[in-house]
Amino acid sequence: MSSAREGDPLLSVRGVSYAYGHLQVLFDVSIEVPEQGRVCLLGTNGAGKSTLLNVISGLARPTHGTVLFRGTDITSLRPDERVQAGIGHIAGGRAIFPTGTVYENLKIGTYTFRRQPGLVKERIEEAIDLFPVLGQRLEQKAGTLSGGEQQMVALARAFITGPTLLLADELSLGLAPIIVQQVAAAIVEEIAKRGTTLLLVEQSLSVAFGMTDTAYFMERGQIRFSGSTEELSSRQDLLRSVFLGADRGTSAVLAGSPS
Amino acid sequence: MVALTFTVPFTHFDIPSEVVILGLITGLAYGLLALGLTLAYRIARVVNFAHGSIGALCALIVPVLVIQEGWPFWPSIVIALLAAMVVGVLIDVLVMRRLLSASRLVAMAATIAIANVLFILSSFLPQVGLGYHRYPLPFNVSIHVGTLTLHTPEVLTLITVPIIVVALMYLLQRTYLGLAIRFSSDNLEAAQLAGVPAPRVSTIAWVLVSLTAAVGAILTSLGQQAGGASPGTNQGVGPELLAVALAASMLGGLNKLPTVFGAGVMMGVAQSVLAWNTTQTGVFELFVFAVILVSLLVQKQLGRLARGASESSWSLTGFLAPLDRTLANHRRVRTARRGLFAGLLVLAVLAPPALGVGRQAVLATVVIYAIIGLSSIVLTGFAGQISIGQFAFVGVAALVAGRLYVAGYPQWVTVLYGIGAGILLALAIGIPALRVRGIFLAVVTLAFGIMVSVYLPDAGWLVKSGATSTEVIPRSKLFGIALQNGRNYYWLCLGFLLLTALIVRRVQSTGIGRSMMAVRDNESAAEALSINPRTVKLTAFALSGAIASLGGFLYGGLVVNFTHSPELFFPGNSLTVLLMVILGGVTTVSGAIIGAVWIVGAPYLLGLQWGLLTSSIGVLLVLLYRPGGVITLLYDVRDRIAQRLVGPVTVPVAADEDEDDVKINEAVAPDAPAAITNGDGARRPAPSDPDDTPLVAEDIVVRFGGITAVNHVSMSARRGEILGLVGPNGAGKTTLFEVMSGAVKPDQGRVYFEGIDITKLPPEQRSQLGLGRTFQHARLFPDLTLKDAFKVALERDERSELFPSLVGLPPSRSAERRKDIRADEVLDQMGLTAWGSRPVSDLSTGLRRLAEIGCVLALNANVMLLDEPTAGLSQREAEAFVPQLRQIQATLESTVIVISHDVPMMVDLVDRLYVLVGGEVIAMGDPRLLQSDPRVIEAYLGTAAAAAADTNGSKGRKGRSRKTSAGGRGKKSESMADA
Repeated sequence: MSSAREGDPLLSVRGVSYAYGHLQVLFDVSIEVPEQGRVCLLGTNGAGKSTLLNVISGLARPTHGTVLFRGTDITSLRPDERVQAGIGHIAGGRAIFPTGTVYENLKIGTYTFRRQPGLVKERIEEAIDLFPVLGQRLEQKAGTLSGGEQQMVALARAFITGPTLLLADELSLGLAPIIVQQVAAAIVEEIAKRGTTLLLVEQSLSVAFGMTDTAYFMERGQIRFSGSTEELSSRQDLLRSVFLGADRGTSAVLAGSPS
Repeated sequence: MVALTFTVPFTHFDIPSEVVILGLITGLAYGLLALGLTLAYRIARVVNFAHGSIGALCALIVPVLVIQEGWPFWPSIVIALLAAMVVGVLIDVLVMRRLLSASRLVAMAATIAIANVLFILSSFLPQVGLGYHRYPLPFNVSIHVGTLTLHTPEVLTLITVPIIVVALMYLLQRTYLGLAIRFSSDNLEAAQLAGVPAPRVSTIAWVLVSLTAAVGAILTSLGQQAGGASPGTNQGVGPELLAVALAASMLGGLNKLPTVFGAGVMMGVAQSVLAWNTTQTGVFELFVFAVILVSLLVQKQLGRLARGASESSWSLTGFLAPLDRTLANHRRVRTARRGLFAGLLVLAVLAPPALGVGRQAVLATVVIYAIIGLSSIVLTGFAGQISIGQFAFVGVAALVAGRLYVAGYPQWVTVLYGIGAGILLALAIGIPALRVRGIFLAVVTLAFGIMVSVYLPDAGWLVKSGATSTEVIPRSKLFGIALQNGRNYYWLCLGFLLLTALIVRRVQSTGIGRSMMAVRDNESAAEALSINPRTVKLTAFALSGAIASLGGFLYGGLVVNFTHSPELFFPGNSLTVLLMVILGGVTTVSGAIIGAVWIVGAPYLLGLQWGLLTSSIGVLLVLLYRPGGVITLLYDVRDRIAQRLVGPVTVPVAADEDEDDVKINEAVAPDAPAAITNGDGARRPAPSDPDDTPLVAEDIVVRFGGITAVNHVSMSARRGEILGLVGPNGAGKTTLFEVMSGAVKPDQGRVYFEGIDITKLPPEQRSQLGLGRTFQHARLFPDLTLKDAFKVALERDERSELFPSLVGLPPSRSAERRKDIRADEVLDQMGLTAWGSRPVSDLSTGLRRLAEIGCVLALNANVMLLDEPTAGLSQREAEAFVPQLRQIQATLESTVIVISHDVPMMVDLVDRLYVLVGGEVIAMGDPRLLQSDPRVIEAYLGTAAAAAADTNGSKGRKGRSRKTSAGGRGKKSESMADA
């Protein structure tokens, strides 16, 4: 595993395996995310990327392996306890509550510090500053928003929980490119301002490369490659072999890659 | 206030204001009950049958403290409410939380068992002499409204219920807790990720449910007779009240609390007004049934819930492995089996003399319940249709048979008519079941059972003939045997049980039963293998109705001859039947018998309280730890004994080849048989005739809401080719498959199969024609053996016929033999012989995908649609897949269309390729040429430049607004860099 920086990583996943019933989707996966790192997980459908995020945020309990956050073993913590510890996760799809208003959708993100009204108010205001369009729709039912606005609600709520590590799953799925760009830009700016660490799952390489500097590439539940996104984007042969197939087999290309 | 009467114009329907006021007061209680049920549904997606018992238990604490211990009123109320909170916590922590990921039907059954446990617990409270007192009141007032006098209970209800409702609404709408409860039920994962501690929220919500239940029960008990529940007489909120409240909840879509409460109040008024205007019993129950049915069929949101409920349907069944064939055929094992069966039979036959006269009616009851249990085995165990209205069939058959007996028909004729009536009734309830599933079907059958059971015993035309009542005429003789003798009657019942058990065994082992189980396990997969789920469900209902009616005929005779149980039509009995089969094991004949012996027999052996307590706790333990029932324990014992009898013969264990190399490591992969890289050698000459196209999709458009999932796509498959369909997520590939296989109706366009327009045909007719398909999730039929799954597909060529199958006539037997041989052949062809007798759920994903293809093979399809056949496969399995599919296709001489994300694999596999992006075909042709097509590369890889440059291409694929408008067709998709 190649971690570019010195010192303890913020997040360290060690030898994690996971199975849905009979279907094993993660095989002995280890990754590290340094403090303030910007890391992406790439791979084709069904490679296990989203499952890995679920293991980190606690939605999925691994069958083997541990998850360390700031050096502490959090493998047995519940998702809400991990939120409190500083892990924010925007799940794939539309992670909103369609029957609630936009305001309620944001307010639920303050649950862990609900007894500090000042902080609640401050965090919600910050989030609305980030996506001003939401401020005009606070009383609207979230289910009636456009896809992009729904994604903003999910993002805003994740920021409201005050994460040190933000896990974002498929931000671009089903969104028009211009919306993706806006959302991506907002995230990049916001995490820079807050010093948040980012772990991104993305199918769209252009989006991923625009937001991150380190990449892990997954295939069939295993990490096959890790390195800087710069290096990866210069390896068109690798990308093509992965997504489109090439003269040599995928595995052969990967075997020759600096892993 | 002046009493007013409103008369509906042109009718004699009066609505006096007093009646409305009384109705309102009842309605407030219904509304509160409905709120509690809706809240429980929202937190656990379950109909909480325990609601009434929670309330009854807590309400009983008050008179016990006030009357027996001399406590003041209000402190006793506080204790009662504290008890409710404790009960709420226990229900969540001990039971519901553990069933979070279980089927909702299992959770619902658990609430029925909890209801029984609480009910029995309440009978342990010291209540000697309570029956002579009235339930305590805090004060005495009476208010006159017109001719009406309202006393303390009514006044308290009018004050308390609105306060509680407003408080509850405030809590749910305005507080963090309410937000957390609501959002957890909307989207549990997202709520947890927002920081909501799911377990604690769930516990608090159950506490709220319990408190609501307790307050409701206390209010309705005020001023009534204080004697609480005694076992055997189900007081408190029985199924009847529950059905009323459920109707209100359904009117509110199980969602909007104010509407739910309002509907509850309205139900009270309706009841009151109906009772004022008619003397006919059962009218209100009919109204309740109609409200439930209509809400389910009319309300869109509820309809979606009701249909979607099948996805997580009845997974309680588990899998019971048949005894290994080598073991079963061993001489000693066969002797032991026969010996055991004969021994049990002798024991059953000789039981009455041994037990004495008084117990003979009990034995007959156990046997009759076992027969009724068998009706549930067929309907719920085999066909997966949950019914808690089986006693409707029992009641109707008993009365029809009795009526005809009074009219002078011989007994054996009355049986047939009774069964006929039961079948008709079963079909009547089976028709809504075609649209309503899961717990919602349970609710419909509950209301139906209540309606029938309230109406029938009071229906003059059925119950009375002249001056005599059918309910008191003893049935004297059948086939010359005097039935007034308890022993004879028991033997008669035993004979019928044996007969029914044999028939149910036949059902289980023929195509009739396999089709039912296929529909139970996976309806869409069954349709894809030519099984018509509607026919199968109605068959199951009819068969189940017939069996329950037979039980009803016998039960009627038992009640009349021996006045054993007065509650012939008590709807709660239907719940008992359900618990019984769950306890015993819902998929086997023995399960019904074990359940009946335990649940019906135990109270007589251990005493009522302890008997009921052991069976109810037994059911809970089964649900939590032994889904599949007590029978699974016996199967374990059976296997061990058989093994010992045979001695150290090694049973061939199916080779577990895939478990070890599911995990591949990087070093090995390149050396593995690399089918991906040697595609050229294996490639066959492409089929020549581009005009011979067995499957054609023409100009297909599919919209979901504002999203256009498939946008004017045309596609044709040439005979004998392997056609590929690739594209990124959300490209519309699977939707196109669904259109071709019939699961989705296109908004525009046509589908032709072998020249026939099949656009309007349902899926099972398409598969009947020879269009086979597999599914992305490859679930298949989890609880069928692999061989049985193949036999389901063989129904296409030789459909099992009902009557020959039931009685085992030669045409059925020879057809079964042929299917057996053919299924073995398919197992062999697929290389899956070692897995033939294992349940599908034991297979790894890779093997399940092969198994699905085996089903298509058994279906003898000439066109097969394969959806993501390599998803979830290990590298090695994926590589082995290409030659395997080629071989199958060559054997079948069929045409294959494959969807996959795996472009490299596809390039190797297919003859031609369509590339779909954003619902449109952007390229088609030779797979290798497409690899270098810039549009395709861009769709998969995108480039930062393209994403930046082209921002005008938003196609509104997700957002609810922009549809692809002018020029949408054939528009290039440079913009799809985000795909």
